[in-house]
Amino acid sequence: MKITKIALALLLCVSIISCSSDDESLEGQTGTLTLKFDNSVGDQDFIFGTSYNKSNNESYKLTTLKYIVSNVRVKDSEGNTFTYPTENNVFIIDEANGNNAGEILITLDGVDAADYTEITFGIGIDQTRYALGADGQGDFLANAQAAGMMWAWATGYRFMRFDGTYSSTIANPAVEDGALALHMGSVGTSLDNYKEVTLAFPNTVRVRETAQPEVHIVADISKVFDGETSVNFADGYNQVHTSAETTPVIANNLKGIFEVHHVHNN
Amino acid sequence: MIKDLQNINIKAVLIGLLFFLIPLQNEAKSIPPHEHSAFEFFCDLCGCSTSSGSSSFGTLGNVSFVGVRYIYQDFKSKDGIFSNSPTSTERFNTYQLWGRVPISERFSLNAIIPYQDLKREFEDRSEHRNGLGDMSIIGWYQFKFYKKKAENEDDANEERELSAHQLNFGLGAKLPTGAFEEGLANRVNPGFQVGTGSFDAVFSLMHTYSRNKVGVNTTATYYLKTENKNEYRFGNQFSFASNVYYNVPFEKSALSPFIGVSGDVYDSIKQFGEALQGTNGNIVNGTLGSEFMVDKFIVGANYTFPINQHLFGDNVTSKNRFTIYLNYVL
Repeated sequence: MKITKIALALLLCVSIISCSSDDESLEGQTGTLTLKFDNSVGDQDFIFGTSYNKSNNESYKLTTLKYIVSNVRVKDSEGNTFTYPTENNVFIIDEANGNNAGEILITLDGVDAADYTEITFGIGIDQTRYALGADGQGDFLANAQAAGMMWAWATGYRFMRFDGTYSSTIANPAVEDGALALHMGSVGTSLDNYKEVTLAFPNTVRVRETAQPEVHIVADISKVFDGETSVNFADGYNQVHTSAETTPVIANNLKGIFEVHHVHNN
Repeated sequence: MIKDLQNINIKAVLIGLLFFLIPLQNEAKSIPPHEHSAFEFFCDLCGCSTSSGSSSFGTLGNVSFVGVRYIYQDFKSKDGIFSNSPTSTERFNTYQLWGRVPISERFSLNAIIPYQDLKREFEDRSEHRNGLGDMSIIGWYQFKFYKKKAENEDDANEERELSAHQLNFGLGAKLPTGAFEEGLANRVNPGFQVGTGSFDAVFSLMHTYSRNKVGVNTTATYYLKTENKNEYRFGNQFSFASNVYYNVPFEKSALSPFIGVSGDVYDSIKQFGEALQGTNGNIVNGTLGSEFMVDKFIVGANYTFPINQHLFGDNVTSKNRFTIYLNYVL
């Protein structure tokens, strides 16, 4: 029957699914990997000047929001790790430099072509980089100084800078629009607050010469205040600088704010 | 001119590509028996369909026809990943040539050639795509049921009476005739595409029942989708639709209002063989509509509205769908 034949032919066509060759050679091929940092407060996009509630009837409003990310490396499906060249592997993620959508982009060039499954990066500056001395910092030292991410060299880098105001009704007396400054960092070599975080990709990130994948990382900054530890502005966390007591708590909380929301394989 | 047209004999030939909109014929003084079968079908499976529901595949009436159809759909999508991200509005205009021609007593062939005109408005910009969409072709086989004979009936009567039930099985394909743009697929609503770029199989089962002036028809369809050249694969889809209609005959015409419910369930989209999060979903729609028949012409219109939906992690919301069509019964 004619129709039966047509129907069978159609079915046959459908069953001939395009065969993709996964045997492409990636040897010597490099590509670009873009990391998109997107600061949020819970499920909301972070916006300067907006008042956000935290725990214990306290709230905050930020005018500056930046942190340092360094030592970015990615691991592929075969367990190989690609580490971005050390001298350039340090970045300031500054909300003020965000695009229209509030995303801060880091572009990594010359990344080995591979199927990557996870990313690791540090928050702040590790002791090894600090030990290179002021001369060993390359351009980054000047950049960090310009961005207000340095104390004196002896004290070192500020790993983060959250500036703004806070309100607290648990403070005695209650505070309305008090000054807020969270400037956590390592303190010279005496206090090491550098932390690393490893995040699995929800989908394979395919770096190729012809493909520019993007990794969309959401940083929920509310976890800086209500993360592993909930801190209160009223208890001295309205001003965090070089204290050996408060900075490690904030460093731990900061480490937990990152999540890979999704990836794009373009 | 009209006189000339009237003299042309109807010869319906439209396998696949060519539809000729056929001339008026004056002989049709009596209304053809109007069996309904709102072949709920063809959401186009194209991009727009990946997020929209099933549009019907045929005219009401299990009849052969050629015609034109216009479908308007709108969606609201989140342009971003946050609860306070801006939104975009997508408006899909689809113009179709469509028809169903008999091949033999039990076989018929359905074809749809869509032209897509898609618009998306962001808060600060807009996007526009148009072009030939994904064509579909489907073959139908009809199972006929006959009434049981009463004991006292004359056996000599060879003509068996048809039952009020009818079952149709359809097997077909959606062709990658529309353009697929990989860049668009990375957006929150990956359905904003003129085509899926894939060759998909369509399996459909349609049941119709009509008695006196009332009829019910129900369709269940499964779309088996394949990977396109970009190693992107829209999720397989199950669609169902059921409509109840009432036939109101007039002297030379008839009106058939109907009400129905339809729905779609989508699997996750896969890219490079991996499922993408938040790309599966489901939707249940209600439909109100009517057809009006005069001579050999059928004019139809319906409005479809979502009752319950979870599309693309709730980041895409289907709003309304309006459909109008003009068919000529062969």
